[in-house]
Amino acid sequence: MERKYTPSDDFGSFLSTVQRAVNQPQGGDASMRIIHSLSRRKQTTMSQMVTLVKASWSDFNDSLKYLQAAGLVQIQDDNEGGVLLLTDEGAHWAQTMSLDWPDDDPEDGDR
Amino acid sequence: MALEWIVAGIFGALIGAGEIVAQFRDEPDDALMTFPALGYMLFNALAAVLALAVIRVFGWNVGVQDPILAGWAQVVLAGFGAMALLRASFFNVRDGEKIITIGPSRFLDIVLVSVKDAVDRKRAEQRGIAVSQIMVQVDFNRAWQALPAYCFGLLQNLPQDEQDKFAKKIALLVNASMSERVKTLLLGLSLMNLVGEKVLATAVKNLGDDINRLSPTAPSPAP
Repeated sequence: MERKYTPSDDFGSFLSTVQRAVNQPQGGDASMRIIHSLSRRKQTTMSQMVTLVKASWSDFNDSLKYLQAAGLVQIQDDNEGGVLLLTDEGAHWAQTMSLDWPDDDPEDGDR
Repeated sequence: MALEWIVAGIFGALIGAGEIVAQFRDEPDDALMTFPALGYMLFNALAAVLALAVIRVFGWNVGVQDPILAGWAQVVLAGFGAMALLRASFFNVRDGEKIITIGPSRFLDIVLVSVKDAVDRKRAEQRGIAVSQIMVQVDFNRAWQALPAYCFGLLQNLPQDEQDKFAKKIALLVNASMSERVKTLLLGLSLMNLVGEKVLATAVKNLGDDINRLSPTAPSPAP
């Protein structure tokens, strides 16, 4: 059977993934709240983050998976079920996003 | 011979430079021109010179009888020997899930982390200034597909998984509720990390009015 040769292109993967990802569930604003919280605390346990983000479990779960796949957040295993922290690029994002965030955040009283 | 000492030092410095370049692949020349990186290379150069001194004190000629060849063999041995010794660990200690190495490599790891932090801080300032200058006229809604695609087209060899990861970041920005300015800066920052400052600047310049927020001619694609 003759197989059709498909040459690899330089940006096709980006375009197809971005079109799919735009319509994919990303957890709504929970993703941004996770980045925001991590930028202030450096690292947080999974259980603390669920409380801080104030999102439904499915939104939280979608957000976390999405942020991990995008390379912005990483999860380190520990005895309490995982610690969340920003990657280097996630930290750069948080720094730039802070231009949009108010200085006072009642959720972050313990910082 | 003085030349041998100099070559041993250069050997050590190149090994240190290699580690810095491996960590800052997007703009290696900028990273190498920072004081912490230069200090790290000097440290590696001194270690190689010290190793050569030790080799000569003990008279190790690595089995080479010709005195000139033996001298150069000692230089190579000093370069690789210092690299191996500085990166060696005697044993590992487990602390919960973490494994802590005990030995000279521990010290080198600490030095490398502090260099990385210092280089990161310095480059963060440079990146921030560069991104805001390059992206000042860019409209996020016009650029979020065209600009990355054009940059990747210029690069030609960006791996598919890197493209996919980048696409996920951009999709996150498209759906995020934040100002257009911050979205544009984040688009530029993420692209700069992948393709470097020069490629980003060239792409923005070449796309011109097609992604310019002040241009009335280009259509604005719906996200």
